[in-house]
Amino acid sequence: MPQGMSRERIAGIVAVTIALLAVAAPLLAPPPDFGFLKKLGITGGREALPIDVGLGVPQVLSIPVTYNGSFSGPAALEIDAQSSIVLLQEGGREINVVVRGGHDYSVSESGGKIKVSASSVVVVVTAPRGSLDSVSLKLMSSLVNGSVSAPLQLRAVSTKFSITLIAGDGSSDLRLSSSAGTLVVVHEPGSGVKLSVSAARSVVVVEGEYSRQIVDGHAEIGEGPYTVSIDADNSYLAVRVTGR
Amino acid sequence: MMKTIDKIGGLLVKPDETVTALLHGAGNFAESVAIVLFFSTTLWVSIALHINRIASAALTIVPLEASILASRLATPAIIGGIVFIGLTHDLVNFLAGGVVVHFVASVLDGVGDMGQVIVLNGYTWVALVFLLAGSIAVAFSFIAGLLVLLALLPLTWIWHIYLLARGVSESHGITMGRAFIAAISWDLLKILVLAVLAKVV
Repeated sequence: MPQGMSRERIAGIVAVTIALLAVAAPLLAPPPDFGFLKKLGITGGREALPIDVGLGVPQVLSIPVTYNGSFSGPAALEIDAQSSIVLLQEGGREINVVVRGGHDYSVSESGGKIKVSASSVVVVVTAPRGSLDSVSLKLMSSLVNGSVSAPLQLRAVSTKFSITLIAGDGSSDLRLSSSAGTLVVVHEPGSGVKLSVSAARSVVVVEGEYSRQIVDGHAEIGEGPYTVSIDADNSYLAVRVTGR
Repeated sequence: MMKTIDKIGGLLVKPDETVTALLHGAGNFAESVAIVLFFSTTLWVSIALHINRIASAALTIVPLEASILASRLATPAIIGGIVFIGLTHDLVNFLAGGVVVHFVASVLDGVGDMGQVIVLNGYTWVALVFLLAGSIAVAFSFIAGLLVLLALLPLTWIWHIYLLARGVSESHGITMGRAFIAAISWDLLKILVLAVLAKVV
């Protein structure tokens, strides 16, 4: 205690300092950490998350939607990519977005709401070999029907279930157990190979710029190129490739 | 002669002696208003900055460019609005609270000067220092800080009521029990009014 300074004065100085610090603290402190929200299953991120995509290797990016609600108003996917990108929305309504060219591109849903009832949105990035160096995706949305806004965060999914089929390989079988993640089958264009897919649940087959769905069944698909994206909770899946 | 800084500190470390001193000439209305304005302004500015900061962080979860733009435009207005409303609320509390406490103390057989109660009521705003300390904690640890703030909230109120009751007891010559009733009367009245409004609405 400085000589001659009373307890009251010291307490007064401390009190005034605390009051001034209380004003300065919110300005000086780092942004609040909402990490606990992620633990509750609410993930987020407004910023575009750059995703490195290897040369010529198609990537599947899963966007977990941890909240069931409906989008309304501006719901847009901003994509800055150097090649085509296909956005699939699992369950409910499908959104297919194909973006070409290395420029910012924004797609907005108009004329109504986009219902989201699925557990995830799958973004399939397809690119000819060597043409895709990087891709940056930003999904912007706002959930209105709910007290919590559901943030969407891009997350790269393990590619360990991806198989690349090369012409002349003959046939190949693949069987996945449940919750195996998303499977991508990539087919070299013009190889004349046919792909046969059967699955316990719905399978979305993307061919070029359009998609079609095979539900609980078996389908033979013509020549590629195509990418197959399959629900993570398929209990059974077999992919057979026949051809030269 | 006691300086303002000594009175602020005294109300925290030597409350009884300081309240007595304030009632016997050490306190004045201008200083009382200044203390209310200082602690009230710092508290509400701090709260407004916290709200703004948390809202900014939350915008990373609600990813709308329009929201960000709106936030940027609205930030000064939001902060100013919160501070204005908070200051108005506190000034009404300061003046009307003093009047009501004096009135209730009179009903409870107290005899004293209303001005003294109003002046003393203003000095009790130093109790906000506990909330301000909690506000610092919130800045650096959101969840833990909120818990600290919640713990300090009753302490702030108790300290404010104690100082007021101590002063009313001395200035109006009533027991601490009666002075306590008088001191909490303003808060009880506010709760009652809010309850009635809630029922009507």
